[in-house]
Amino acid sequence: MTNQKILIIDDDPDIVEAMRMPLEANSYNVVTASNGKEGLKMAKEEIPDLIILDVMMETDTEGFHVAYELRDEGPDSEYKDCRNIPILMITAISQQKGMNFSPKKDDTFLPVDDFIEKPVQPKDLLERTAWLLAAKK
Amino acid sequence: MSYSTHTQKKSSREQELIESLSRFINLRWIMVVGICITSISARFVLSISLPLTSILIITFCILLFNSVCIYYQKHVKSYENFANFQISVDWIALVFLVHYTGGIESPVIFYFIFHVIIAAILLSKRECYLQSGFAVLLIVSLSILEYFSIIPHVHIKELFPIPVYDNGLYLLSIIFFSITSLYISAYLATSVNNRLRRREREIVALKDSITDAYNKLEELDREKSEFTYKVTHELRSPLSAIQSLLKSIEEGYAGEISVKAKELIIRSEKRTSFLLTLVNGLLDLIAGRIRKPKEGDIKSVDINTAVKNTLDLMQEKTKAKNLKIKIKSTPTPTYLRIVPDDLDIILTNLIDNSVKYTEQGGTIRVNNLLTDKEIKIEISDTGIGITKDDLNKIFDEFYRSKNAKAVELHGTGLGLPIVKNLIERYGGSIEIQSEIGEGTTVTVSFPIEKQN
Repeated sequence: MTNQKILIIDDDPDIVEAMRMPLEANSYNVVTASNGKEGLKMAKEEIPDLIILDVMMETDTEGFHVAYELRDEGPDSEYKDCRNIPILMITAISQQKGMNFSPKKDDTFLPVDDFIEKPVQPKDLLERTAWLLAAKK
Repeated sequence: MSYSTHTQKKSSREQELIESLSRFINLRWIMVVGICITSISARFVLSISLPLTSILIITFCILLFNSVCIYYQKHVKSYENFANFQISVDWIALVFLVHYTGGIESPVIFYFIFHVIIAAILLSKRECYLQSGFAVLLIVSLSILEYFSIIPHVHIKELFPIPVYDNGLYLLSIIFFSITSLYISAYLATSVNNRLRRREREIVALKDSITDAYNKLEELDREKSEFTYKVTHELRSPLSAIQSLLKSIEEGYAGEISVKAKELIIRSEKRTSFLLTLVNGLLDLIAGRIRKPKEGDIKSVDINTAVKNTLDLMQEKTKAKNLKIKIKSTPTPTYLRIVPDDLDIILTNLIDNSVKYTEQGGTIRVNNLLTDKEIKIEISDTGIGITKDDLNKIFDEFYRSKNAKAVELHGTGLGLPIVKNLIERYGGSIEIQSEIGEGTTVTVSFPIEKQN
């Protein structure tokens, strides 16, 4: 269980820090990326046990595109080795009306395993992390 | 904007001309019938010796002309020329009628006045005077031609036993008075008509400026909402970050902190949490104002199921206060066309208010109704109630009543404005009745005809 590697992809360093603290306190090994492109590169190199992914970065849907890349079923996918890494998506959009998507509605086909809402509650984050890592095994 | 109103104005002027012209053509049918009846009864009832055949031939020509006018009415390029042409033809027909009913002695001569008025309505001042000039020319020519016997005079002996058409003085006076009466009529009719048109132009200009001002205001309001939306949106990220960080510190993930420091962190966290709720509320409120619900997002939702689901989610709260919940559903599923999330927000806010402001052991009733015209959801409670004064302000943004503050110190005062905004997006309405200490009933109604 210990020293499992978690990749956080989020452009807000303060949110990253707020998540890193409780995760590291629970002996997870945390690596971070501050945008989608960097995140994809890190995912390929590091093959983490879990990816925590922010939806809104440079664009409102950048996180979705990253998730689709990682879960690409195609035989030539660059991210073959990442296909089975669980993804926890951070979102603030469920309360935002008028957006063109909402995670609740799209989770049937959105290739992520769970959602967590901003602001991040450390307990909630740790529970979901533990649950996703356990489910993976 | 100014271009479109300009073209609209022009076309409305043209539209008016087209309408007047078709009325003019209809009037001609009546004239045709009138001439036939008058001449036939003059001939056979009054035994006046009219040249009936000639009159009926002229009438038939008018009838033919009118049919042609109707046929070409839709293919005309310049309606003013069309009007000019019709008036001229009418006058020629009229002068023939005058000729066959006694020339300068004929009472039909008075009918020239009518066309002067018609010309004043349909044409410009200048054209009206020109047409009047043409009429005068026709009358004068007829008199002169008959006077010098270049064309024969038709003598109606029952009217004028002794002919007067060859009396030079009579002729001159008739010509003088017909010229003056035609021109005075033209002057009066055009000046009245001009005044009316000017007034109409003023009204159109006024209407345009009001519409312009209204559009500008609306645009401004939209821009303001858009701006507020963006600002509020931008406020969320830093607030989320602050709160996430505070939470981590509070729970000791940044190392041990003193009891006092922890207490202060909890306080700060509560305040940011409230601020975040406020920002989310504002976003809900403004989003409803600047974005119309998308067709694809609107679903048929059974209100009975929606009410049950909302109450299920609140079970924890209602049980904690030992509240009795009574739901009266409609006998069959009642479907409302709405974005499901919007209905959730409406119901959650309203039922949450009832739960919040009803004391331990109270009752909350939700009554779903389907009438001929409306789908209604009535939520009543046995809570603290709202004063009459507060009822008037309760839908104002950020307003919170005194007794609400007594129950819960911090509240955004945005719940009801958000709910009202959402309901109105679907053409619905919300009504609140309340008695202090007795309870409150909120009725939400959605019109059925807007549901399709």
